[in-house]
Amino acid sequence: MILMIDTPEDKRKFVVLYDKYRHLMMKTALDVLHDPYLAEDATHNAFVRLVRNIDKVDESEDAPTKLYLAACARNAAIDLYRKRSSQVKTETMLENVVEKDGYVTYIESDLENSVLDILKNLPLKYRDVFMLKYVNHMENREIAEVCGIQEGTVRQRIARGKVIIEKKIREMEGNLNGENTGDR
Amino acid sequence: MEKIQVTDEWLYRYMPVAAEALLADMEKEIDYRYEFTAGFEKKMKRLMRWERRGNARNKVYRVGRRFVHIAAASIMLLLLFSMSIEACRIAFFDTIKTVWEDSFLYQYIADGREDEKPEFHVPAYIPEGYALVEENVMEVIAEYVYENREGVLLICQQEMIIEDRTVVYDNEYDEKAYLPLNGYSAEMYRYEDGTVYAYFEFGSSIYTIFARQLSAGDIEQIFLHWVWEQQ
Repeated sequence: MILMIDTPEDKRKFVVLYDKYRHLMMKTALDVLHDPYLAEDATHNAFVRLVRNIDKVDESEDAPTKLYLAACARNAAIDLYRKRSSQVKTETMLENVVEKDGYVTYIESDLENSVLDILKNLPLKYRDVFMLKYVNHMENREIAEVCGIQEGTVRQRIARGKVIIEKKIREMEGNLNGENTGDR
Repeated sequence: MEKIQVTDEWLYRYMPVAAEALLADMEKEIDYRYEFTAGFEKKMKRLMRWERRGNARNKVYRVGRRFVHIAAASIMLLLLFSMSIEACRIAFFDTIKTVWEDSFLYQYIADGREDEKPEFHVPAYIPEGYALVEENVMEVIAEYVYENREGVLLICQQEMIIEDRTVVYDNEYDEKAYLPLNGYSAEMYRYEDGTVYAYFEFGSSIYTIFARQLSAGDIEQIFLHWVWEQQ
């Protein structure tokens, strides 16, 4: 079957998600496409995908729901971009997506601030995979479906992403140690 | 200072915190005043209708399947008592079409006289540019999904009619037309966003076509090469 909403509860859930999160999804798509009309198309396509996977998301206003919908919208936008520009590789597209300056968070310690900034500012192609795995607790197969990539690529991105995080943490630790030594 | 090890356990602990912070920042940048275009709203409305139709279709299918299972069990029981058995498939049926809110309800009353095996036909003519991307053949429904390079879908569905079957279609159309087909007539409904669905009853099946932006000529050709060519 093409469309998979089976129950009145799912139908209601879909309407609630549309009402609550269409602007979030639009923003995510717009960040990729930089064109409101195309971003609307991508948002629509993301909702079509959502219909098929309505069981994978709940309607609460928690991070996993928002992350899942944002990932759907971003990947629908990337698909649209690829179709329009006839580019073959998603990788290229993901690397070309320019985000605004990295988000900065401030919490108790410099160390934790820096660690969170590293995680938040992971390159885009790793970030969705990491969020869906470590926040939404999704299986690699499910992540692959949402991101439109192979399951093996998900595994690769997790492994490479860990290396990137580790490297950045070591640099950060080096800087903090340098500062501490300099303070003495 | 103890070195941080990037393990799964560590990521499960820290990624949710990073996610909350990331989302908080993203949400600050969402333009909630953005007004979606009328075209988008229409497409979403259409999607919800397709979903409802899908829902009704699924429900109908489930009811149909239950009926088939009950019928199959009954046949097995009958076989125990008699060596002659008539298959339950029907060849002729009457249709009651009613309008309910924004939907058409088609209910079918079968006479159950004829013996006919379920026989599904694959459309032999499909407009240029479309390729088969999905095929779902179940007990009483066969669905063939085609897609063109722009991602536009064309869905051809054949349903074997069983007693008390109900099918629901959206009736908020903008234009209705009849397509003459070898002395019979198919109904064709067009909607303002270009969506079209066409409906045709023949033998013990109903044939439906759901599409976006498809000409009457193409629909006619699909039916002619689907319903008759392989009979």
